[in-house]
Amino acid sequence: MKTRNLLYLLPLAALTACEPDIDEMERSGGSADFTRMVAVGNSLTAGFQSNALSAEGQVNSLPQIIANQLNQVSPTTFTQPVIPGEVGMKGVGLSPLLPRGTVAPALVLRLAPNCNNVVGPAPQLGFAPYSGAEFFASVGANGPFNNVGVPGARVGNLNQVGYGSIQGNPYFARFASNPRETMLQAAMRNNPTFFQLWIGNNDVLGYSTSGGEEGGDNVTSVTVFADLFGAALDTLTKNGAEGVVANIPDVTSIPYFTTVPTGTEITQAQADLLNAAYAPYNGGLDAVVGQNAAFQPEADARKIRFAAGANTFVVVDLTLTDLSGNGLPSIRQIKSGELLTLTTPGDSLRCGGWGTAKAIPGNFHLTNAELANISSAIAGYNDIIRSEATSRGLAFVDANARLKELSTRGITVDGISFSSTFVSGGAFSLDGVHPSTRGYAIIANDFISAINATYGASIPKVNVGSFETIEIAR
Amino acid sequence: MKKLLLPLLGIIPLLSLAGGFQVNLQGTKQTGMGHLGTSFHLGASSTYFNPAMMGLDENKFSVEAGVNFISSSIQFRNGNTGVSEMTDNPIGTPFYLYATYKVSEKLSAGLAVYTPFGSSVVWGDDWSGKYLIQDISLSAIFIQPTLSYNISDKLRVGAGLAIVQGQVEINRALPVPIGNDATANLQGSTTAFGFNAGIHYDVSEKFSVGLTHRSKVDVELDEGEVDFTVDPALAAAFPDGRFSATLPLPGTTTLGLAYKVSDKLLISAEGSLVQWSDYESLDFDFETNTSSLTDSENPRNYEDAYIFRVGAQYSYSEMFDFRAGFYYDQSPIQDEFFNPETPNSDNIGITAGLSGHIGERFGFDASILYIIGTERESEYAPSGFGGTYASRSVITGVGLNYSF
Repeated sequence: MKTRNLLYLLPLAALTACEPDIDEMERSGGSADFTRMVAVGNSLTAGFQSNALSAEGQVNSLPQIIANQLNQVSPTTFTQPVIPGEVGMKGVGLSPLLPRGTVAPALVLRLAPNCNNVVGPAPQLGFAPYSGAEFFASVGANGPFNNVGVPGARVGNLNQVGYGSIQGNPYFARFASNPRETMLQAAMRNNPTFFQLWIGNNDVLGYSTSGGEEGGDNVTSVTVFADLFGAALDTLTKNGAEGVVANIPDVTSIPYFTTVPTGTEITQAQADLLNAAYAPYNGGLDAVVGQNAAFQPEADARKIRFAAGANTFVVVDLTLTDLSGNGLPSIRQIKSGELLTLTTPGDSLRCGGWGTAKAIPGNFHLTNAELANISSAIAGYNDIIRSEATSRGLAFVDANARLKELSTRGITVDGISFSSTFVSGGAFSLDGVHPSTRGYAIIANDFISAINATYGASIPKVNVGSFETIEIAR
Repeated sequence: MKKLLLPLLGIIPLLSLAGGFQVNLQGTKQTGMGHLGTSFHLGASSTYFNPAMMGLDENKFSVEAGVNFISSSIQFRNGNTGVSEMTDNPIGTPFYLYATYKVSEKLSAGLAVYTPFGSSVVWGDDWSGKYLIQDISLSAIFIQPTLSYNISDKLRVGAGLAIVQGQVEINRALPVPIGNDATANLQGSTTAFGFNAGIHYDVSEKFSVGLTHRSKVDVELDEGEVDFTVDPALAAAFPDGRFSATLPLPGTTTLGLAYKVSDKLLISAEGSLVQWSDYESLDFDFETNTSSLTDSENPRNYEDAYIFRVGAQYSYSEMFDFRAGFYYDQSPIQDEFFNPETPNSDNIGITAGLSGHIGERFGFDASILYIIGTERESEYAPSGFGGTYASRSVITGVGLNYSF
């Protein structure tokens, strides 16, 4: 009888099983002091996504993600000039094409038909452009802010007086303490013990995204970059602050430049029609050669020929010899390695005859010469960034290598596979240039790894899968 | 009996207790002494432990049944974030039923119903490894008609055909770039076949040896069903439908030795080789592929693993037997392929048990097993997910037996 009573207890014993008890992970800041952290940079530091700066993007900004983790090893306050209200919700994108005071909202993904009536997710403005009055109101009195990330900033803007005025950069003007404050002054007002600096992307990106020479944006020369970057680090480290610095990803590995195909498949009948249409142009080139035999190589490169199967598109190239006097446009077919920007109108390619019957404007096209300018500038900047960081004993993030990994092999983390494919790759936001929230989380982990390695710290990383994905707007 | 039992057994949540997803709880008596039983007879449960020994039963008819209550927790400390998470596994209740019938002095027949494989791990819908696994429920019910034959007074053989009813259900979050709450539910069930064969030899009055082989069983799910929950815009890219997958249940070869130290004390030791290297990959072949839904290959690359057991039984009186045992169960999983779906590190088992006899015919058994899943830092490299794992389990078992 006694034994039987005991038997009743056996299942109960099972319910109160001892649980395993793994020790807490070691957490330490190592030799670095994160008490007052400041982040200096451009849109990538500000939290820009999908063509706009929104409150949600700011809350998930790269330095905010990092600061949340630093806070787990030592108390760190991190304040940002978060955009309030409706403008914060819709997002603020600035464009010279919009009337003064009007801002463009962030892109959202909507189901929309294309010109062939195929419905699919497409990036569109979330709302109509709207008055950004609430955005333009200064919050400088609430500073200093720990996030001195200013969308659009180049290395030359870090120490530029007047950049904090509305004529300079409205994003900075909004939170600068006065219009004459520079970005570095805004940063130093925090008396930082630790900083992050990621700058230089816009020194080549503006040129790239606007199609190179046609866009009217220039590339900062490597020697100028060297002086300005070194001076910025001198300022940030002058009170003994430690920090982390990242290099510049090759802009041509981002979906903005790799999404739009540079050619199309056509039939023999279509090729025949196109070749007939371009026969006068090709004949005109031959006529020029008749007058000037030295023109033969350019004429060969310019002649437009279509065949059944895969063909590259026809583009405008203003670097070609101007033959408008002969009634010949400056057009040719895209060469291997050249790229089209994400802004190339998809429906014009699909249904408007762009690239075949009509030449694609040059501002959507990066020539091999333009690409060479871009990559040599990036290589030059990156040499400087690495040597400046290592010679000062700062942590260094090889963002360029990481983005290359993303665009070639892909990155798998927390069970999620990321690539640099537009939208479906998961790492980029809808503008094809800036990371998605999860993309920023991946980079934040790289920053934390670099800080841990350089300063002997044990800062926990983030779970990338716990950050939100893009949703379809309905 | 089959008809009655199958629906009942089908809903029993089982639990991963040994290397991989093997569950070694096939007899309350044996569990009490380290789950040893290949080389000495403890009743009708020999149908499972070593079919050759069925003829050693003194009775014409023996029947034995039992159930276990498994309480288990697995802890994971994320290698990136340092955050610890714990499973919320249901109480598992695997059970067994054995019957033997002595047809003649030499020939015996038996039937065994048991659950040597299973797993029920619930990490939760929103834990850090949700894209690898949220929860898994895996079970394999073996129904095994068996015959044994006494070749001589000392040598006997036995074998049974195992009819295996296997089923699996997996829930995982789906890592799509659009939409936060996408999930995939995969489930299927099938029937497969294997065998269980053994040989048993009395070297002397005191010393006996047993050897068994339980075959590999390939559970081939041809008619699995996958159900995706995704944003409606992605529904065409992730069509619900059928999938096929093969889950190998590995073969196990066991050599056991038993020695009667005295009339009261029996000691035994066993070594098992579990042929886990058959579990190379868990591949899902979807009937309808799209550019987003390609067939999924998930390397497992398990390695063969050993289990070593020692145990003793002490017959205290006519009424009571006491047992104790210990085992070491090696993990078949390599460090870079350690997946939270079946997160088994090296296990150490400590057991105790007792039996009571009521009259000539009736007996009851009880056992308790404490399993320490040793702490282990590993990752599943193909998914970039890892950390430190450890587990603890307490299993209580009760059994009844009746002979005449």
